[in-house]
Amino acid sequence: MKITPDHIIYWQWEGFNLNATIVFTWLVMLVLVLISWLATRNLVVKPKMSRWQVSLEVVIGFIREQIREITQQNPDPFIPFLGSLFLFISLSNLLDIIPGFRPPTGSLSTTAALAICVFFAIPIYGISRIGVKKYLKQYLEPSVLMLPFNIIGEFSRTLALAVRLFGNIMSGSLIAGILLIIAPLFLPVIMQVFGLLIGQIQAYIFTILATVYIASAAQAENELQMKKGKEGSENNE
Amino acid sequence: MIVDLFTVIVQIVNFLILLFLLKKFLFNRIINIIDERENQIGKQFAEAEQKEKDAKLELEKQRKGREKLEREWEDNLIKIKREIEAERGKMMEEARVAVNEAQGEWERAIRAQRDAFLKELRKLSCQQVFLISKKVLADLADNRLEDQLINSFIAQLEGLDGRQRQEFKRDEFKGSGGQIRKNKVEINTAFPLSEEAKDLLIRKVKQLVDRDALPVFYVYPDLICGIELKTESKKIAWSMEHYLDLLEMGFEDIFMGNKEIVNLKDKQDIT
Repeated sequence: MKITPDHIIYWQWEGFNLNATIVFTWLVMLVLVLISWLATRNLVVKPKMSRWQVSLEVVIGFIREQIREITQQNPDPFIPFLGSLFLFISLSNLLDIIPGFRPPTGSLSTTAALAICVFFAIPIYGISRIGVKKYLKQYLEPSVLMLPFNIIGEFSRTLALAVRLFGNIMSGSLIAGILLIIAPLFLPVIMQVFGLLIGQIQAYIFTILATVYIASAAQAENELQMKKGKEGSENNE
Repeated sequence: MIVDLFTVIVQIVNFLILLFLLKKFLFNRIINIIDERENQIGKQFAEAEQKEKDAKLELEKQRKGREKLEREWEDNLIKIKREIEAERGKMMEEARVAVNEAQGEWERAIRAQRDAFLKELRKLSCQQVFLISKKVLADLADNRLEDQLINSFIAQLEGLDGRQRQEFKRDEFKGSGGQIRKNKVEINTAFPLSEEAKDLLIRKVKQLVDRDALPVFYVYPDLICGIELKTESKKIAWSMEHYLDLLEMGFEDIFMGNKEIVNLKDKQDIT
């Protein structure tokens, strides 16, 4: 049994391997884009709208509200990135229920790629919001001595993001496979259901953590200002 | 190796492509639609609020208008009531005046009719009494009524005391031309006197009133069976007029609703 779908190679050419991770990623992407295109072809403002539109509006609305609550900012700039993360991970984990489907999120390469995307998104959003200087200054807070720890923290949380998602999804698939061998009748079904639940929870956790990291970078200026304000008021007293 | 670098790079590229596609086909469209709907709902809310405000303003305007109309109606009502009251008072006053005038007219007419009736009655009564008395006296004593009247008048002259006679004597008579004629006395009768009666009266006047008196005789039918001796301010007379006056008063009392009829005996002769 293969731990990761990366090892399932469908096509190989001069060192480039077309493995199951990439193929199923394309499948998930295709499904997402197709559903999006179909659902948003005839969008209407009126209350009478298609079920697809209603479903997508509910999902997007949910993501939007979550981001708004966490960031306490206008969620619209964050939605495309964080929404794509959530939808991709969620659909990948959901399609795990289909026999033969190997979720791309069960590959450390995929989760690492997503974590790397988050890793780069944090400074991009942070710098775009508060500028390079202020963003880099965060690494020197609360003192210069903390710079290495802050840098390590950046990498470690990216690694944690990748490994957490990979471990949960891979373990779920492995447990389902092992139980299928031990007790093929009932337990795999229950474990599949749990796997679905865990998959959705992991998608939520991954997205929420990414939101928190991005928001913390973008809100650094506000926090600093609040800190300065507090210190000023204390000195006055 | 669990992590394949090529797969990582491909997955990063895949995710970026997915991000681009979803942003284009999903998020932007959905967010725009949601925002558009929110704006529309916001607009509708704003319109609804504006309409509510307008409706409240209109309601307030209508309420004020209604209150103004009610006030005007009440003022008009009070004014009309006052006008009606004033008109009623005026009409009542006019009616009262009209009734009073009608009543006055009526009373005047009644009084005039009564006076005319009494005058006629008096005249007829006098004529009847005179005729009856004349006939009775003629039947009983074979005397003329005129003689009885003259006798009665002479008896009255004889009844004058000394003071009364002196007053007659001192009185002067002013003639029609303004010249004063002393000793002149008028003897007025309702009927023509015979020469014997005139001589008798002259003789009695000279004897009883004034020796120098110069009696002049006149006939006045209005004296009603009477005879009078008259100077400028003094007069002594006897006639039926007094009795007729009493009779008239009796009739007046009857007309006015007085139940007590005047007793002729209670009245005294006046001279």
